[in-house]
Amino acid sequence: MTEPVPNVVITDMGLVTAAGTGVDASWRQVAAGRTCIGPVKTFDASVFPTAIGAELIQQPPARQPDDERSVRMLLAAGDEVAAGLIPWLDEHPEERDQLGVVLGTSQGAILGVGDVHRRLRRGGGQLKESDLHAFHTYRPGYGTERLAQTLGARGPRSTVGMVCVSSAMALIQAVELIRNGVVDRVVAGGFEGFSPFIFTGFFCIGAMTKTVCRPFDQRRDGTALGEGAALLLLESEEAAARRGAEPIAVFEGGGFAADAVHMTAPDREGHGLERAIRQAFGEARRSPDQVQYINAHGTGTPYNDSMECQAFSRVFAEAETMPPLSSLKSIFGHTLGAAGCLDAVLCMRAFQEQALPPTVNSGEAPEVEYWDFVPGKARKTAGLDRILSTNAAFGGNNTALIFRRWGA
Amino acid sequence: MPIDVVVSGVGLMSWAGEGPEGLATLLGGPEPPPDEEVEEGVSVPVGRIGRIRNHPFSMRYDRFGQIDTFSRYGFIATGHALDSAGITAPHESLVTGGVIFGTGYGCQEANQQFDQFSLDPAVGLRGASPMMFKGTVDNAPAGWVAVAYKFKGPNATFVSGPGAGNEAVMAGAAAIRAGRAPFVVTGGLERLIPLQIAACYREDPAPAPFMAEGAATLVLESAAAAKGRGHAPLARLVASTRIPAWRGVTGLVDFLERAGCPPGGIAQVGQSAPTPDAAEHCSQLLAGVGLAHEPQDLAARAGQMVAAGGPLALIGLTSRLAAGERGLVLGAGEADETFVFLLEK
Repeated sequence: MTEPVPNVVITDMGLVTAAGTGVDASWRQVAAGRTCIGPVKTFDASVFPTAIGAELIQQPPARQPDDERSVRMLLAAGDEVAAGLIPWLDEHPEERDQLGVVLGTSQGAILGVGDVHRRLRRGGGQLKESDLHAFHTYRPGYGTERLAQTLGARGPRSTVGMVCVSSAMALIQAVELIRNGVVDRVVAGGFEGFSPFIFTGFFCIGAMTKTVCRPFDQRRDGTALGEGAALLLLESEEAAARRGAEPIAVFEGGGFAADAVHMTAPDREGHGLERAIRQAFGEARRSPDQVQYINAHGTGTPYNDSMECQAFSRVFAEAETMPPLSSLKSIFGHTLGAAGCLDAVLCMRAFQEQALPPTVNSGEAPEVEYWDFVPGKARKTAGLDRILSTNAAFGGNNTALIFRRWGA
Repeated sequence: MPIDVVVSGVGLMSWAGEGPEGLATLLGGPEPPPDEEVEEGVSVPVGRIGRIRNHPFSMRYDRFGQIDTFSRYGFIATGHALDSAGITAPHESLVTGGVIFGTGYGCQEANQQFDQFSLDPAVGLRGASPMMFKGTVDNAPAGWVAVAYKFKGPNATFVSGPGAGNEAVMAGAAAIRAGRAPFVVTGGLERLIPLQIAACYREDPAPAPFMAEGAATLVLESAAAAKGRGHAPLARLVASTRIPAWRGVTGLVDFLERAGCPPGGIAQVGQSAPTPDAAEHCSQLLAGVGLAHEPQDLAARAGQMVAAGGPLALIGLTSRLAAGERGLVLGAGEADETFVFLLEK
């Protein structure tokens, strides 16, 4: 006999962005339609023709000496996501066995190891203990290990390395762990620090804006980078009820598919993303006309936004109307490994506020005439019950997530 | 109706060779790799390393020259796995195939090169190469395989330490069972760099018998799809699970019960345990369910291939099982978690 598959709900969230620590700080930027992007301050970027980004200048405190910025942000987001859970776990320590951690990141704690790499090229010499520490913390799974230790989680730990879809994929994997009965609850999401490494990489592939980041605007010329950590607490519906937690939303479906076209450029027509979206609808057993808002990847690069619009156009052709869609990249920059879950966290807040996040800097020349890209500020709405969130990445990876407001 | 998953093909890229010949060499017990007294750039004596040096890759792709070495390992092992599975690609009917890999250390060689050549203040931006940047993402191997073979189905990369390859295999099977793909190329891969080797050999205990790099891949397929194209699978993946440390023997007992397989029905056991502690943990689990088998650990011959070690253990068991036999593979993950796979020939 097949066992029933648990319903997976989202009960809490944590977020650190350039706007500050806490979901409230980020939502204030969203509500006001204010960007966090400005001149780069955390490293000397004078060699770049344009150097803007969304950096968190006042970093959360280090928990251990030499904690790199991405780890500081991750652990601060961990405090917020688990604020309600930890006291309950303290009373029910056996439940720590049923808590897993699944994270995604693109480069992890990369800042410390760069100097070691460059020194080795210049002639090597003896390795210092600090070099080995830098290398140890740079392992992709280090952030997951630290967060699991901080939370006292004794369930599975998993790390996804898929660049810009890493944390969206982490959410999909977390749901799999709960649905398969491996654990009852998972803290999942992603983290990414602002670094010269990523900045240079994006510059050299021509993905950076020379003006401002304006997703879904015909004048767009590239993205701006950001940083942050975003986490969701996912639980089986039964586990949430066991501790009296009120869910925010239900994770209804997820999809992931490859473009199989190019390593750093997307399928120009968005067929990979379309496959991921259709998978997600299939898993959710929902149809496009049941979605009231799309939170798009919307990097502001010419190819990404164009391919997303083409994918949405085909998928939503079967719906009566095209729902409003927007991108958060022009507020928080592109946070790579944190991006998918950052989007998801603010979708949860959108459910709570019944408000549509805006696409800042866009609107004068929309990519598709007559589509609503929610220009300006967040817009109050009613009946926001289901959201589709999409992401895409180098390597041709695409993800799609469908959330339903709890109680809808 | 649950979808049955089978192992349709296996592939290998190792210091002892690639493909079926490389596998035969490893299974036969190759001559150990030579000692390396001092690693380039980091003056640390490290002993034996199973490194792939000056290997004449069996190239089969016109953009092979663009591919970083780490991705090449996965690419070559995949080519052999697809050959073994009788899947010839690219082919329109195969577009929904997936690629899911795992790696412990990922693309650190490309990252180191990018750090060294693109971020040197003395050079400025002249050294920043988009070609090099392509290799600085952990999902580069899975991306290259998808691009080369036009596999447009599920594509994912786990970077969860030594268990990442096992995690990839489980995720591949899950994707097939969920109807996301008819087949998935899955497995683990590692490329070693001097800094990483030095760091690992500074740890106590050092990896035993020696560290090694390479890739071990499996083609998982729905039994119906394999049957539909007339391919005889190498084995059936009956069930798999991950057992957190705290569950211990109870986790394995439950798994075998749910799989309908009493311990007496297990003919062979394989394991992937990168440390003596992990090996001891596996032994305790086996003893706890009354299995007295001496597990085959190919690391004794192949070296510790980190995330490729788990998939290599699965390949080893697949090749050893006789018709009708069932075998168990235990693989170590992060925080003493154990991945368990039950195979049937």
